[in-house]
Amino acid sequence: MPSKHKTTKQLSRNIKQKTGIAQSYPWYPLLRILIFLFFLPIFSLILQDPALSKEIERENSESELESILEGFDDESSEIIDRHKLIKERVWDFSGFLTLGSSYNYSHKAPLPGKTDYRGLSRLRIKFFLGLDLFLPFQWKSKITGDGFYDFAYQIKGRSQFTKELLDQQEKEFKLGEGYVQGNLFSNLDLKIGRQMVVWGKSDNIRITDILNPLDNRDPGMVDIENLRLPVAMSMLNYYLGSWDLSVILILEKRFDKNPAFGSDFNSLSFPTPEEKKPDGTEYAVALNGIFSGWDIAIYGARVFENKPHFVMENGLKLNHSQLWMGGFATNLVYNNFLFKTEGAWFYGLKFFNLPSKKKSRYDALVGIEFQGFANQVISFELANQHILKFKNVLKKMPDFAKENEFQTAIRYSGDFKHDRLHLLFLASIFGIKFDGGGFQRISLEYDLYDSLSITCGVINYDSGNLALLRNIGNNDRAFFDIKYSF
Amino acid sequence: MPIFIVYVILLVCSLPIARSANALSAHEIMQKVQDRDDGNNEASKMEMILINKKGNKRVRKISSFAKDIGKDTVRLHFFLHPADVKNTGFLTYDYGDPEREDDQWLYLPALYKTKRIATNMKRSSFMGSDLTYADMTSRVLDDYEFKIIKENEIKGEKVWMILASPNKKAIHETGYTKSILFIRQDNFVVLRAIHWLNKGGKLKYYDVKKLELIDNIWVATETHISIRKGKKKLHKTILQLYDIKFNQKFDKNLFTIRQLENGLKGYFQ
Repeated sequence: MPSKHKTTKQLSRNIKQKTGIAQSYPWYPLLRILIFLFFLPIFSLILQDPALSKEIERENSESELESILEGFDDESSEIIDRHKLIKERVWDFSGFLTLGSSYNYSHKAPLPGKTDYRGLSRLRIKFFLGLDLFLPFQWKSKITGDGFYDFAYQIKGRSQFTKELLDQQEKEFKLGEGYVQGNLFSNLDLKIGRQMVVWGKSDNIRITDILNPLDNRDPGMVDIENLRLPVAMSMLNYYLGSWDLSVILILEKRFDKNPAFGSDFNSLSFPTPEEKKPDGTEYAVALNGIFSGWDIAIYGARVFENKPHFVMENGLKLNHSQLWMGGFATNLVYNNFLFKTEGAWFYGLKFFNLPSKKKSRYDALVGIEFQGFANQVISFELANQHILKFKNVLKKMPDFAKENEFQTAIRYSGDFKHDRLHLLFLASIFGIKFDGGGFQRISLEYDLYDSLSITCGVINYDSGNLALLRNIGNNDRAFFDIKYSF
Repeated sequence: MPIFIVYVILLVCSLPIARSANALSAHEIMQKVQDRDDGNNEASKMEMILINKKGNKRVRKISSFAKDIGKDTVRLHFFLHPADVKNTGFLTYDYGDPEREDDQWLYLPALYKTKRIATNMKRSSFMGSDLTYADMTSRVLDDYEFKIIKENEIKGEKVWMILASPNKKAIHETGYTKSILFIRQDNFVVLRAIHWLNKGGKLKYYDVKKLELIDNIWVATETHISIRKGKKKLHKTILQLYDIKFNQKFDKNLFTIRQLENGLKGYFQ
């Protein structure tokens, strides 16, 4: 069998063949070099060719991509027993507990015998409890209650505070909402009981939002949304397409709670006069239309004015005028902007210095809200109250009325750190020249856990020529709250 | 072998190899992703676990409803946990017409008020999670250029890796300067995504951990979303869906302000 390996003879034959070629073409080695040199630039061009360059660039970016892909982890998910997660219940209990404190840093030392407002102005434990009941046929019921006890008066010495102030501000326990709600027919809802009904589009200034009174005992310390007091009403809502008609019978006469005599927010030098309980029926109607990009609401009401006026009836008393009200509110969305307008006409206003006359007033508001920054909102609102056929006698005490009362409100709110940190700035000032008085508040809330948050902030008050704000400039406070929600 | 032939072979080898043509273009693939049947008349419950870089956890629980009305999608969410957002409702009308702005409303029970939201700012975080409102609504494909990077495999499934380059409008809306999407080839589900955030040099990783076929609809029942800067994980969200039901008989009044303000008929904890 012939060997697979080449024999020496075969090898030498090959060599001779090659040598033979070399001997036949002596310029062959030079040709090889020239061919190599010819193709070398071609190789270079190929290397620089976009296609090949891209290939190399792709290799580089692939390694970068591989590095980025390492960001996907193989962590397994938490094992959650889903059956325990969400259960349907017929009741829901909720609420919160807060410990709130505030420190007044601007008041000066008082005159002998006067209240010392300096330093600790609030050390309050407050609770709120709510119970929702889910009834058959999609009806539901809600009842709430809240209360507080303020230790500040005990710590500072109760004797330096007025009885009216202690009665109002030291402790309180009260029923809040209590209503039943459900469908009478497919397009008709009924809600009866103590409830909140919010009208208007503004977040900071009330023009058409007149049905629920406010708790004004600590002005500026709390957002207007958290100040409303529930009122017993019977409300029917009829829904037709984009429209909703509400007819409301107001069953309870309830009015604003204002700072008591002896509070550093009350400039009266005498106890608050007795407030007369008015007679008469209150009712309201609203037509709401909600459309793509805009809303409109039209309101009408026969109500008693929340802000009382003085009357002389067997001594100085406070009375509430019965008013006719007609108004509207609109919302318009455009890109990152929300435009708001509100307008209201009131007839039936009474004043101490014109007891036999009823006056009319136009209230108007324009506002703009910008939501162009992620998790942040900025809003600006401007409002005016204009009394028609104004008489200068109304400027005198105790009315201190103005023909025009301008109010400006600026609000900024931002959520940061994945909704852990909430920043809020609110400024409200009266007067077209910003000389009516007002306040600026800044607060920072941090969620330690889902159920526990802390808030701290500062509120600065400005005195002005508005009667109620003449002496509040020294009420500046720093505040700190801890809140547990459940 | 003559050296000449060697050079020819080298020359041929240096030529770029023509890529084999895909049956679908990148845009066609993304259109199929957009058009994929994601179910209709859907009710589900959602739990989000928010985990910061220290490992602290917060939980968000939501009950959700969704319905397609032609090319539009309406969604209603009720927040059930934590306590400070309980019973908050969010109603959104996501219109199929790209020229038409979406309508969104937020009901805040503590304020007794329904607030309209200007919807152009979709970069905002959803309930503090790593998901934004942009992540939860459909995109306008014409605002992007798509390119297939390569084909790959994830957990044994073949995927396309597609580079999505947004125009200025989409960058402003989403906050992403570019994205890589991993599309499963058999069902056009986005299994993974990497988004380049336009601020801070961060990346957002979107990773579907569990994909289930429910009523013939592919549903991502567990998704992990994390934000990274370099190799450092800054924040993570675990999103889990369950009790998912399709083709529910919804009351015609469900996706309305009326329902938003009335809340759920029962309480889910």
